[in-house]
Amino acid sequence: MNNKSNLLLLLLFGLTIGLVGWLGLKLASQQDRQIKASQIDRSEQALLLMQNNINEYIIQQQEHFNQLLNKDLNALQARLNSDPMIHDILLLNLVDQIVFPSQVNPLQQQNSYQWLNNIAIHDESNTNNQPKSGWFIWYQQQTEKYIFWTMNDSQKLFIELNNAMFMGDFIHWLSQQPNIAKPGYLVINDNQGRTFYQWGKELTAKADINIQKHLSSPFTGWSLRYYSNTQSLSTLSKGLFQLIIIGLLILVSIITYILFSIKRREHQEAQQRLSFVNQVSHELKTPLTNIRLHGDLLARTLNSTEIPAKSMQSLNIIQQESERLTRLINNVLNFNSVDNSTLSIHCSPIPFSQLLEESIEPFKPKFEQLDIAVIVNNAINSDVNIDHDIFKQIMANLLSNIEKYAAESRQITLSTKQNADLITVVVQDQGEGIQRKFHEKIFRPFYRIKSDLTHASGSGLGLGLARELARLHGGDLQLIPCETGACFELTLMEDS
Amino acid sequence: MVKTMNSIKRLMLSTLAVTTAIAGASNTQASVIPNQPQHQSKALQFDVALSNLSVLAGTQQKAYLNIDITGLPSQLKKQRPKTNIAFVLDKSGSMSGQKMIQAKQALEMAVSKLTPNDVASLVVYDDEARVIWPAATMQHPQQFLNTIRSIDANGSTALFAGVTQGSFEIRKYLDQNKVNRVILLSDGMANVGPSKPHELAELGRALSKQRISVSTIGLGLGYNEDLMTQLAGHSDGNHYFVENADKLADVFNSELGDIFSVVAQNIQININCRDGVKPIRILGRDEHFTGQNIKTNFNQIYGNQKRHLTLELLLPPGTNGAQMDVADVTIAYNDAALKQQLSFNDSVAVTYTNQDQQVEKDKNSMIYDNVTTFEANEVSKQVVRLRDEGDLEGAKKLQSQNISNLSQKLSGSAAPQRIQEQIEQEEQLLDSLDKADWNKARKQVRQKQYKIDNQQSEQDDDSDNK
Repeated sequence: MNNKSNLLLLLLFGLTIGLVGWLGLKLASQQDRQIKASQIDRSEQALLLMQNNINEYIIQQQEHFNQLLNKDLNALQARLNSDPMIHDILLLNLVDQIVFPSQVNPLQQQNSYQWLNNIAIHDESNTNNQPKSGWFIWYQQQTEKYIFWTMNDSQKLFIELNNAMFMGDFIHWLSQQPNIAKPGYLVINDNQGRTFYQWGKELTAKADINIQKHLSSPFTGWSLRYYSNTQSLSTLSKGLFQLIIIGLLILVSIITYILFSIKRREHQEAQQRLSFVNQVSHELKTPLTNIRLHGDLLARTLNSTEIPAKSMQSLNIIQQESERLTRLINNVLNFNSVDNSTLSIHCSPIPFSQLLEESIEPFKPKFEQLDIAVIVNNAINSDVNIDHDIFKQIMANLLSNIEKYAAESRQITLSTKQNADLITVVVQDQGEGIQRKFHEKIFRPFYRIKSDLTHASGSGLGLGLARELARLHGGDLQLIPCETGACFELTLMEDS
Repeated sequence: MVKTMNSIKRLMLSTLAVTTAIAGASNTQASVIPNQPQHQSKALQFDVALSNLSVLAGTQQKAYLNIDITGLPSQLKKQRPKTNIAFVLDKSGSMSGQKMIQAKQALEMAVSKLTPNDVASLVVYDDEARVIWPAATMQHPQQFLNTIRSIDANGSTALFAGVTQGSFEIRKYLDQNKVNRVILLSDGMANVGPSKPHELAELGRALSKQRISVSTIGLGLGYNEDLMTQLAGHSDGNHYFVENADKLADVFNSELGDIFSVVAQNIQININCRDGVKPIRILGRDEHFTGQNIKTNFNQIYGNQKRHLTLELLLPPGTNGAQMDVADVTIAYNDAALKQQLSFNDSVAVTYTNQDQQVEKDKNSMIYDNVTTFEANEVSKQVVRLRDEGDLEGAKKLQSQNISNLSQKLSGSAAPQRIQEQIEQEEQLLDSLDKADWNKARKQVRQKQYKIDNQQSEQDDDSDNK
């Protein structure tokens, strides 16, 4: 019984841990997904922000150059000389004549402004949209020339940037941008796929998050890439999560320990009681043996004629009862022993009605005193082959229980029936009955529904022993549901 | 020894310069004479001359216009120019260990030589470039040194960004009376940002336009010497190859020595060719020009440095006995000591003759030496290119021819020793072509080629020879 409940407790413990772990994992993975989603979201936003900032930067540059429109030629020359970002300036009027630089020979025009032919086409193709400015990238000897053009009603202005200064300025500007890459890696690739600028530690492995945005003109073909590995949980919530799990584990452990120690104490108490009963029983055995010995001696020495028949009958009763007491004590001692098989069954045929009568006989005076009527509905008229002592002991237990716990009953009913070898006796009282939840517990050793001292005394062993005996006899003892009071059903297998 | 040789050479040159200048003056109009006092300006000495005073009449002739500029040691010796230096340090992973320790020590040494009048900044780069000491006057050298000591090496190599950031720091205190310079120390290939030699050349050109020079120090055998020389060359800085980090301190010394000895800055040279004269190219420089007017500049001249600019041109056919003005030269520069802009004008002319002997006699062999040196240097670049392409035999053949060409020029040379030195240098290149340590040799060759192209101060050769 104890092992079983321990197992149950262990199972409970395991289940709780498992449940908590499972829930935790589920929660964690859900949070992971949420975190990843929010990280992707944030990365997207950061990348978008950077993209917008870069666009702003370009617009800022363009506005810078736009101011050169309608400036006089000296101002243009001064700007060309002073601005390291500007490599060359070309100003055309509406009929595409070169206004600036003022002295250009045809050879120079051919060499320096090769791109002019291409840009003219480019310009024309866009007349539908009437763009006022734009970028043109011209490749010459593996070098890109960044050319910004802007026009108004009277002029077309072309500004060829100094590539290195433009790139240098861009890098300088980038270096002043806050590092939005944390904790990931943000990289700008140029149109040849080379790393142009980067933030954070390079991630070469396949990152969880890999987002890409393209930059607009003049950085056509450039890309902004963001790589990041999602962190499973943020450090804070990870710590919190671990704390909760550990806390739960500790709580469950404490509860288990408390339950376990209560259980163990109960078990110890039961053991103590049992060993007490054992010792007492052993102590009782010696005087009982003496009583039996001297009873026998007395019966042999006394002549039956010398003493009155009444005394002889008393002597016989003393002998019989002391023998029964011996058996009872043996049974108690055996019940406590590990192996129940040492209990032995001694079956002998007897008219069942007689056995039943003998079982009830000792209780009759008490029942009469308590004004309890005993109604016997015996359906077994034949002899039965069962152990008399066991039967009587079980019946005595049941009847003494009624005497102790159901004394308010006005009548008790004993019904018997036989089905093949199975003998069934149902004992019903009219007491307050036993609640459903105690139906099994009352059979446990030393279990008492009310253990207060004021209540009727008992060892708590009786029903358990009775059930063990019944089972030993191939039957059972159960509390069965009935309308009034408690209803015990005893079954015994007849020895064939 | 080397120093004495150099001074002898310089002495010889200046004597020659005076004679040619007088010869030039006698041939040209008197307008040159009012400019005469500026010949004695404190910082620079100029010598403008044509390779041929007389040419054969009747045919188109090739000739060279040469401008020698010699930096005279500052007379105000105690007062060196103020500097505005951005130290740009490669701290990528490859720099870790001894290299970094030595680099930091060299940097500390350099910084300790600066005074509160100087501006300095420190940029480090790996994956990205960071300004760890923004440009400021050197009021707190100890904190600067602490910043240097805190540098750790790791990451990749964003060289372009590093130099860019350095130049932005310089620009905070950009001042034409200061020597504005980025000193780049790198041991690796650029792998983040623009990283092709021509891209860095363009950056150098752009910075040069703002009067910022970049001196590049290539450390070890892993850096890209083409990239480093292009960057330095186009911004008129110095280039050094340092194989072992323990030589870094010497190099920094040498570099600071140059910076501190700057006597003139922003030397703008304007050559206006007369009609009929066709300018072809400036030797060793890639200025593009299309008209008669050629503009170029040097960022600075160091004390005791001698630089020359040689313009190749075509003279139109002339009649016997005729004189012709060839070109007018105007040079403007900032005198570092006087802190004011000075200028210098000169003109050159040529006489047409029928006499071969006269032509031969009037040849300026000093200028032809320049051309010889330049051409041999160009051939050696071609040799390196062939070697790069794997054509070892072609490279060897071309270099052998280069050496024999040089040897033939020995007899007519004004300074045979200079040609002899170059022959030795070219022979070294020939020897190293099929050597196992070509990588190292190539870096040495690039450095020597660089020095010829940019007339980097001779004193630097000392550290090289150690």
